[in-house]
Amino acid sequence: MSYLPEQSPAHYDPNAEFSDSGDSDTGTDSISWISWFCSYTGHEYFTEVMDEYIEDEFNMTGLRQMVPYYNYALEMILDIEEDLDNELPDMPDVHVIENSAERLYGLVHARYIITRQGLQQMSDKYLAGHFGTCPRFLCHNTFVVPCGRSDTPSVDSVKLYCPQCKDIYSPASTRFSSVDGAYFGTSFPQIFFMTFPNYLPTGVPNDYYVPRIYGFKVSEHSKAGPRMEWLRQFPESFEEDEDGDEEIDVSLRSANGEDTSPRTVAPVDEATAADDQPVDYDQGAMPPVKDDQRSGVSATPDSAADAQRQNSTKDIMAGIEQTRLAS
Amino acid sequence: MLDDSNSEGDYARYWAEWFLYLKGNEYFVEIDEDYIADRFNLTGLNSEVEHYQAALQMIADDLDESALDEATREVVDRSARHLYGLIHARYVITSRGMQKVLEKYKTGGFGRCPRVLCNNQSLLPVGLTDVPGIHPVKLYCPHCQDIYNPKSARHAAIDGAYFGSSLPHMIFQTHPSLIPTKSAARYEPKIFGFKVHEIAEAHRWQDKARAEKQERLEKGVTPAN
Repeated sequence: MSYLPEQSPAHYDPNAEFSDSGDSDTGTDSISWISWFCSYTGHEYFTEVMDEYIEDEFNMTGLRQMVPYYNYALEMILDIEEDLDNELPDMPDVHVIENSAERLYGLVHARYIITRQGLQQMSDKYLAGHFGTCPRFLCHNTFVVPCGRSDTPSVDSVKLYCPQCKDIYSPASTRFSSVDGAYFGTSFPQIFFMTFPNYLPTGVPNDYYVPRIYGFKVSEHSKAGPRMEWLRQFPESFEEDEDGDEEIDVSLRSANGEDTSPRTVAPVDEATAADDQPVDYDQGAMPPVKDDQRSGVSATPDSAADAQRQNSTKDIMAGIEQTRLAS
Repeated sequence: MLDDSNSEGDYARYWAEWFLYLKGNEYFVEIDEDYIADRFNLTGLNSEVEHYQAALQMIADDLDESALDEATREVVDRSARHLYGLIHARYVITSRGMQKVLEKYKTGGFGRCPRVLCNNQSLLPVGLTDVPGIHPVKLYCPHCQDIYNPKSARHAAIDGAYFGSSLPHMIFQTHPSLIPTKSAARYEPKIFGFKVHEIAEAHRWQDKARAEKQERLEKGVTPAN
């Protein structure tokens, strides 16, 4: 899947977009450019950058060189209309400015989402399930976060990082294939989960798939045998620590009170919502059989690793909880 | 028996064709009529499916549906779909069935691996169990050797037992030339270009596990478990 910048969906056309408001000339007044941009189909991953952040010249350092018609683009983003109406002789076509505005907003967005306020906004989106869930079956619908593969625009489209398998996936819907990964940045997932360590999945073992034929494991000496288990295994899944850790784990959980585990939030993504829930077989002749594999998984949480992680991040978590409650 | 299926060939294709065109049934391949006509292939299914005879007749388009009331017709229809699925699981691991699955696989008919580093590897359908009614169908990627949920919600209602837990592994045992070359590439999380300590450590651990496995395979030692 190659990134095609010319497929950019953002064609800022207030007349078409807000024709229902009656007066198309004043249509843009009802909604800011940033709100319009973030509500556009395919822009579901974007959060709204505060005007104050964009207005601060310091935050825009270096972007002037990366975006053509920087001033026009900035005015479009901030809904400053007067210069656009003046029709200066060197004024480029409005579509060119739109593309510049999209790029400028994307690049500011990548900077904004790793600030305190931006992380908080992305956290709200994360908990609401706006980014979807991991397509890997053994991640059991772990919530994912958007990320880029490069901080340079027009290199690759946005990808999704799963904190469970620590791997990146293409979004299920093709409408995201035209969203630039640089608008989220390569560092975002790591900073996000370092800021919110309580969002890291716990209680799901680092399982890997074992291929079987008629119930018998395929030998690893077979040409077609398993070769990639290492990819899905992590050292913590093998450290079976003593019982003391588990007790710490329990006390920590009760001390925290609320369970902020993202997997307790019902996924809203339509494409993934039906999966792994009790499946609605339209073949009613099949009675729903007890899902033993899944319940078996949740019955044996990886509490040793869980306790370790919780213990080391206890102080950070307490601080974050305080700031969250205060805000 | 062969004559039988030939004489009613046009009708026999009718129910199956309708079934295959149903939304969500894109992963199914068409079962040869001869395969269904051979009762040996259906051994044991009569205890698995209610109204077995009627369902079988419906699949073969032998059933006089006008003689049934609406409720019975619905039950038989459900049984027929279930039966077709169970026969499908058996059929796809025959050499003819595998060929049909492979044709679909080569055009990406089952979708592409969502994992970025698998570079759009074609997927194969797989069940987690051979018992019907437990898990919906999953997709197996022969590159990362992992299983994924289908993209579309409509496939979440298709029973994995209609494909069987052995299908992809059977195919690659039979056609080892189709096994994609594995790569050791993996996603390296970075912050401002710097590796993350914890993850770099885990990656070194993974590298060691991979090297150990490589060594084991070269020596031909069977692992303890």
